[in-house]
Amino acid sequence: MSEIVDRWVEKCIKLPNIGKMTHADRMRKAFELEDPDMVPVAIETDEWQIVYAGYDFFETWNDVDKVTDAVLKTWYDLRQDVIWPYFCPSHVLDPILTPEQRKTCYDLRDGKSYVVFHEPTKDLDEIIKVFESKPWVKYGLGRLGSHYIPHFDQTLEFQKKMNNTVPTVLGVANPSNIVEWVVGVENFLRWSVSEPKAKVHYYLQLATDFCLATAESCRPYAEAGVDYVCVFGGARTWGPRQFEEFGLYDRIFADKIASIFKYPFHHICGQNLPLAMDMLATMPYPAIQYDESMRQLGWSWAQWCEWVARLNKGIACAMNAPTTQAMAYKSIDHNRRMIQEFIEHTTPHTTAVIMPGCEISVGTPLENVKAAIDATREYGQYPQCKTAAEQIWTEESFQESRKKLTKNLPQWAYNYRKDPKLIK
Amino acid sequence: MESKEKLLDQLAQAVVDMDTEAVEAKSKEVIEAGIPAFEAIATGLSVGMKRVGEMWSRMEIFMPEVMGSVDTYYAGMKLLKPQIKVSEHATYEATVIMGTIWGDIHSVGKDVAIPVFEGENFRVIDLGLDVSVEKYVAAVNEYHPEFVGLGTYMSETFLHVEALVEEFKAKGIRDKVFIICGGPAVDSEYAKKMGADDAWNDAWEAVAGMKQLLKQKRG
Repeated sequence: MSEIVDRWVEKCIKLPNIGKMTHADRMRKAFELEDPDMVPVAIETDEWQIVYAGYDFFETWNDVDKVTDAVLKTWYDLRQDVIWPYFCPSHVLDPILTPEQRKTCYDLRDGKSYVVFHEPTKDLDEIIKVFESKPWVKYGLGRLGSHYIPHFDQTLEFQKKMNNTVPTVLGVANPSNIVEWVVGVENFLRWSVSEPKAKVHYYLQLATDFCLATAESCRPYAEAGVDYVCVFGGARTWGPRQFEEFGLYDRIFADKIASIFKYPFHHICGQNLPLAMDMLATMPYPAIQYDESMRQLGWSWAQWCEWVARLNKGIACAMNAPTTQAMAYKSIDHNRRMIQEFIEHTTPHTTAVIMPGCEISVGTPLENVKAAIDATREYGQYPQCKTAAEQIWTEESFQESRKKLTKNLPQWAYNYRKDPKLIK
Repeated sequence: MESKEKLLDQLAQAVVDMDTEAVEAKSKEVIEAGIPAFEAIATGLSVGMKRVGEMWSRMEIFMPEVMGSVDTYYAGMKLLKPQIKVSEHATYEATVIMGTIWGDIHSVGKDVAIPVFEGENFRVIDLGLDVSVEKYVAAVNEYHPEFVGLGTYMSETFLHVEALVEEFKAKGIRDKVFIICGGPAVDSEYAKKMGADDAWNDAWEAVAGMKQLLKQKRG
C-alpha cells in the first residue's frame, strides 16, 4: 500500500475515457493486430518525467515516492495509453557492480541532465570475470532492488487500483544490450571483429544466462497482471555478419520473455538496418519499437515507415514516430507531419502505436510532447487513418526491395521463419 | 622489394581487411624502403579508410567492420607517425580539436572520424569523452584550430551545443573557429540554429563539408 499511489488514484479513478476505449483496451487491440478506436500513444517519457514534474535527479535518487509521483503526474497530465516507469542506467548496471563501484559509477551533474555513468571495465577478459563472479549474488541487486522494483511495484499498484484501465510497462535489457552497454558499445563492436569468436560467444552466453535469470525472476509480475514488457535491445549497429554469428542469443531471450509475458516488445533505436527489421519479424514479439532508417538508403520517413509496416503485416504492431531528435528540437509542425506520415503509412498494413524509437530527452519541450499526443488523437482515428494516404510501395516493389536488402538474413532466422508457428 | 605503389596499395587493403598483422608488416616495409611516412599515411592507410567509407556508403560493411578498420589504421599509424619528418608537418589542411561533448560517453563516431580527418590532411587533437566547455576553450587557446568538433551521440547532449557556443562567444573565441557537430543525433538545421556552423551524420560527409567551409573562408 502506498500513500502516493492512493493520492493519484483518487484523482484519476473517475477520469472519463479518451475516445471509445480504455487505454488498456486500445493498447491490447493494437498488440492483437486488431483495429482500436484510435492509434494508441505511448511516448517513452522515462527520465523526462522527473524534470517535468519539477524534481531533479538528486532528490529522486533515493526517494522512490518522488519518482512515482513524477511518473503518475505525467500520466495524469498527458493521458498517454501506458504508464512508463522511470528506468535508469543504475537499474541495469548495479547488479554487476561491487558496492564500492556503485558509489562512483554515476554522475548526476546538475541534477537536471541525463544520468552519466562510467563503464566498470572496457576489457573483455575483465568483464568475463565480472559475470563469472556473479556480483549480484554476493552484493545484491543494488538500485535495481532498492529503487526500480519498489517504483515499478507502485505503478503496478496504480494499474490495479485503476481497475487495469491503463497498463504499466516493465523494462528489461536483452543479451546484446547488456554485453554492449556495460563495456561501451564501441568496445563490443571491436571485439566482434577482432577477438576470438569463442571468447565473444562465451561473454554472450554469460550475459544470456544473466538475462534469462532476470526474465525468470520477473515471472511473478506476469502473474500479477503485467502484460507489457519493453525489451531494450542492443545490436543496433551490428551488420549481417554479427547477426549471423552472435544474433541467436537475443532470439533465445525473446523466446523466454515471450513464454512469460503476453505483450513483450522489442526496442531497437538508432539507424535501423532493413535486415534487422526482417530478423526481428521472425522473433516472437507482437510489437516492435523501431527508429530511423540507415541514411545510406536515402529513403523518406514515410517510405521507411511503410516498408516496416508492410514487413510486419500479420506479424507485429509497428511502434515509432516522431524521432526523439524531432521531439527534442524540431518544430511542432515537423513532429505532427512525422506522426501523420507514420500513421497513414502504417495502419493500412499493420497496427501502429506512437512510440518514438527511444526515450525522449530531458530537454524535450513540453509543447512538442503535447503536440505529438494531440496529433496522434487527430490523425489516428480508425478507420479513416487506413485510407488517408496514397501508399508509396506496391506489394511488388516492396517484395523486390526486401529481397535485395535482407538477402543476408541469418540462417537461424530463416530456420524460424520456415515454421510460422514459431513466429507468433 | 615490392614496388612503392603496390606496397601502399597493400597497406590500404590491410586497413579494409582489418588485418593488423599485415598493416604492421607493410608499415615496416614502407619504413625500410625509405618511403616518406606522410606519403604512406596519405596514400596507403588513408586510402584504406576512404575505401572503407565507400563500402559503408554502399552498405557493404557496417559499424563493427568500420571499427575494425579504424583499429588497423591506428596500428599502422603507431609505426608510421613517429617517422614523419618535421618538414612534412607543414602540409596540414587545418587543425581540428575533437571531443565527445559533456554528458556523453559514446566514442564510436569520434573514433571513426579521427582517422578519416587525418587521412584528409587534417591535424586532429583528441580531447576524449565527456569534454567540458572549459576544456574546449582551453584547447582552442592552446592549439588555435580552425575547427572545433563536437561529438554528440544523443539528442540530449546535442542540445549542449548551444551552451558551448554561448561560452565561446563570452570568451571571444566564437568567430575564430568553425564549430561542427557529428553523430547520429545531429541535425544541420538545428545545429546552425544553436549557433554552430554545421553538422553531419558521418565522417566522410563531414570531410566534404569541412573543406567547403574552409573554401568559403579562404576564398
